[in-house]
Amino acid sequence: MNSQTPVIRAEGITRIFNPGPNEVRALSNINLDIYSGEFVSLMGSSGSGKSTLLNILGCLDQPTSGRYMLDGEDVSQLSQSALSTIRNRKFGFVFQSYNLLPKTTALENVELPLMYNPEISLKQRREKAITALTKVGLKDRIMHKTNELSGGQQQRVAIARALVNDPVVIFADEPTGNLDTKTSYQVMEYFQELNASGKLLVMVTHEPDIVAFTNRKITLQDGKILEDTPISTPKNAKACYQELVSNEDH
Amino acid sequence: MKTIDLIKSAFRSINRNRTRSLLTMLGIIIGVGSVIAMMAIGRGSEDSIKSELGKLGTNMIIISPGPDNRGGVRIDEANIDILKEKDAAAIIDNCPSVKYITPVVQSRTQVVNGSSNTRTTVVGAYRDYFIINNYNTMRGQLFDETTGRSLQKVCVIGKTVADELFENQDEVVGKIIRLDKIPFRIIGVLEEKGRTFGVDRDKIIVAPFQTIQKRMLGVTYAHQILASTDSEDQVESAKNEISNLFVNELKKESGGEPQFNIQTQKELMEIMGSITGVLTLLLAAIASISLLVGGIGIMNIMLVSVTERTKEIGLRLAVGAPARIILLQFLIESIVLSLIGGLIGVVLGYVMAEIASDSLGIKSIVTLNSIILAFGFSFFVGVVFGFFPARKAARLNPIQALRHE
Ligand SMILES: Nc1ncnc2c1ncn2[C@@H]1O[C@H](COP(=O)(O)OP(=O)(O)OP(=O)(O)O)[C@@H](O)[C@H]1O
Ligand SMILES: [Mg+2]
Repeated sequence: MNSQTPVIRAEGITRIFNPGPNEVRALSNINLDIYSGEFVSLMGSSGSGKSTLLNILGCLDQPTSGRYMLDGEDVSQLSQSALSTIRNRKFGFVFQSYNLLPKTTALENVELPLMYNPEISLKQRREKAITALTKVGLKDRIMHKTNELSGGQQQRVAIARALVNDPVVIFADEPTGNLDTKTSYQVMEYFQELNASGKLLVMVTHEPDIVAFTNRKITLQDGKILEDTPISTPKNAKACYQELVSNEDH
Repeated sequence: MKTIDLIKSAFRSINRNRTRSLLTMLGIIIGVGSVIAMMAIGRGSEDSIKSELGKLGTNMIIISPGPDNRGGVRIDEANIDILKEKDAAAIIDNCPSVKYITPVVQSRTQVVNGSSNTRTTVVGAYRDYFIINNYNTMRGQLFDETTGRSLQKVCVIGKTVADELFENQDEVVGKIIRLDKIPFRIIGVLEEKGRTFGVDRDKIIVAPFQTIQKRMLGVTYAHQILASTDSEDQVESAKNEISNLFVNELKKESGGEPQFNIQTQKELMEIMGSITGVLTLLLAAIASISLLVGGIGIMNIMLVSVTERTKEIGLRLAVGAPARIILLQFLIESIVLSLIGGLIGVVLGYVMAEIASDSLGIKSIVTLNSIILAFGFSFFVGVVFGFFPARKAARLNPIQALRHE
């Protein structure tokens, strides 16, 4: 496993907010390698720097110092427009609060990342969006406005949007934070499916039962990596979901 | 993002806040509307002035005394006697482009027929006066050179004068009227000409030049000399010929610089045209201030829109929208907003111009130019006032924008 080049390599990444006397050292000297095929969960108490790290790895933010190698290429000094192209072509994002466009159909929401890729025609865009929505089981909700969908369905639309551009990495910041256990398991089921199909996933979460579905757990504390352990036998989300449903039935 | 996506998204967001968008557009609507209406009315009055002047005969050249005597009506006392009857003869002999000529003397006079009387303009002129001014007789005949030379007291009267002095129009020709107590025999009545600039062209009496000059006014000069050419394109050369003649010949004789003024009807039309043109521009400039105010309204609402949609902008940036596309998205939105306003404004302006011409009797012409101008201006307003909010949107930080509530 360690013989291949990591997809993500953080070399001494430090992120300081508000430099000066009141500076906040959100991350200090993070060294991290993440390889293709992994499903990584980032744990840690509130304010430990999970979101900050995820944002830097997702090229939404840049480190104050240190290097970030993506697919062997140093991206820590790239321009904003180069970073937006990377996000558009290589990454997918899932947020805690879904962040869907209001009063807009599920289809158009999923099409959004492809709109910013000039190589994709209108027809391809539509086809890819429908395929992505079908993957998350929302084929019959394509033309529904997002405000007509339940929280779980909205998060599935967000997942479809994250995978529509066939990304290398999907970043998720507390994707199950607003969902009940059952729908959380369903979301994890789609994540595991994506992971199985070769996508790299990096997810921030608080919940230990959600961590159990991933295959690597990184714990942060005060901007440093406290613990980094592989999970040899992740739980199967699909099975857990079905178990929960059948328990409810009895 | 494809152009069609940008335009679609602009229309969608305008449509989403319909009332707000309409209120925002109101400034542009009123601005464009009043620019169009003002220009239409300006253009219309320019046009009617031109056609009025055209009625007077476009080939006319007016020679009058005084160095600064634009309009040919005001008479400079110092130079009043500069033009002589022989100058008219000199012009017709030496200027090949000039076909018709007449010296003119005029006076406002009391006219009496028995118990009826009126005040009117009495013109003393040659027979060519009728040709130059497009007058024809309705009844009777015109006088000729011999009547003038023999100082005959005959006259031709306009329709209004005839109506005011006589009950029975069939008996007018041959009757005697008194101009300033001097009896004149009416030999003809002129065809009706109507009004020009509100002046009744039929309230006139024309008599032979010499008769009026010597018998009535007792002067040795002419107030004006009127000349005319066969066609409009000869007017310019005729003017030059007359001007040269005056400078070369008449100056020598008088031993000084004769003070006179040669003006063509065409120039008069141009002067009037430029006056109304300036007026139109002034009105349009005032109207365009409301366009400016409309633009500020657009900027205001676009700033509100950017703030409201901060989260959406954050999301778009996060999924890889380049900053310049975000800029374009909001810029196009403000352009579409002001163009729709412009479109409605054009319709409004058209309606206002129509109403003005129907109810106020002002002629109005909506020109394509004014539509293009107003439309171009509203596009410009959209770009200028949309740019600042759009740039604000494009400069947002994706993480902070996503956190925005
Ligand atoms: N834009 C910012 N400006 C200043 N300080 C910031 C900024 N963003 C984050 N921080 C600080 O950096 C530290 C790490 O924040 P971060 O959001 O990464 O925490 P987190 O682990 O995601 O917490 P949570 O579980 O509550 O989401 C915190 O102390 C926070 O106050
Ligand atoms: Mg966080």
